[in-house]
Amino acid sequence: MRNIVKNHNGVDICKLFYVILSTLLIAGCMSPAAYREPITRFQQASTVVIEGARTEYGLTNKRERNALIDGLVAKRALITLKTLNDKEMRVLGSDDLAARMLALDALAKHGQLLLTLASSDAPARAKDAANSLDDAIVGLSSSLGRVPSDEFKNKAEGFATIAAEVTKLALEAEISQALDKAVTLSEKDVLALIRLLRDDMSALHERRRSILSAARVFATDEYNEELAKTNPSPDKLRKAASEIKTVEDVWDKLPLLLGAGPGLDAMSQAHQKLVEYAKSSKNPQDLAELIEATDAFVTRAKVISDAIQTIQETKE
Amino acid sequence: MTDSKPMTRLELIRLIGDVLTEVDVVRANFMRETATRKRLDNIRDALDTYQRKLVRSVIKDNTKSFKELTMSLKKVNESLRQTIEAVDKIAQTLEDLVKFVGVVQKIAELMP
Repeated sequence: MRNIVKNHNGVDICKLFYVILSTLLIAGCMSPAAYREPITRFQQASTVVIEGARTEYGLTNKRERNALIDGLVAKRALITLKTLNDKEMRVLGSDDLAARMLALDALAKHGQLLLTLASSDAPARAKDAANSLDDAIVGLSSSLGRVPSDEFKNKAEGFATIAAEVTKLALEAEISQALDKAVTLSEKDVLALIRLLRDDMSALHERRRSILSAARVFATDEYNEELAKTNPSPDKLRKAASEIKTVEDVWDKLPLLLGAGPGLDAMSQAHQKLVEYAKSSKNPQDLAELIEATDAFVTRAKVISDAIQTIQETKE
Repeated sequence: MTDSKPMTRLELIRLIGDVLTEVDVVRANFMRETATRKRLDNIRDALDTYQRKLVRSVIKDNTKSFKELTMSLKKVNESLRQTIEAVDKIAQTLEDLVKFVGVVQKIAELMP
């Protein structure tokens, strides 16, 4: 730069103007394009985490049911359909499960809306994405009516506000404003919803730990009982020992089976950075911080993707 | 000394999980038909039921009752820590476990 200023010929002045103009364009750019890369990454990583949470919710009642059957087998107790139908034996009722799936759907649609707003200046596409989120909210709200807890309901109302305001701005072709609004308005509700889902995931992980811990006892009992017999069968002992090894393998993997929980933490942090960026003057430093946060989220999502694969392959 | 920080619902679920896994380690030392094992199995079943209930239901963890009961639970847990790994102190462990289940039951009663 110093050399350019020193040489006051026409070419260097042009260069100087170009550098200043480029810097100003990057620093003060209010176009959605500045958001495109980090939001694309945010959306990709969110999809992985949301799918992880769906998988975890989908498996939870099955795990409880299998644990119930294993417990009855261990006690040599009768297995009746009445016992299997007992709602108390499930962690999530059908309405609770539906509400959570719809909340995840709304969260995914919110990410999709951000991506559409950042990727396109076409108000029609932005409007479609906003309407899609609105539809998801309607489904969620109606589902929440059947759920006793009102926590999800509060978040859904926040979503509805975002969808309405963003749709209006998108229709007025104010894409940059719609994008900023979609991010900043969602700060409270999206983060609270992510936190709620994260707590759910942690609680479900605890259930997984308790069930697996009981399975360890069932496995050692089988071996020890055979061993206590006057003439223990070597085949039965080997079979029981093999079952102990299988259960212990899963137990050892437990810290890796955290599922979507840590991903939701990273998602919450990346979303917070999106909000900060939307509120900022959007200088290169702000953008660099946002990219750093979304990169960390993408890295975490890759780990989660592997963990989800392990969860799906793990025989419990 | 007992940690005086209020416990959250999630921390309570975790604490019950910690005790459940410890009970499992203890009960695996006894054959299924023994009286001690049967008592431990019953304690395990009760804690498992309450943990599942806490995961499923909403409980307000900022109420005075919740704070008092979880503080009491921390104290019982502290006493439990002194004996649960010693097989020769099983009588004291069982006594503490019964107290622990009693407090968890009271907490569960706070749920709507």
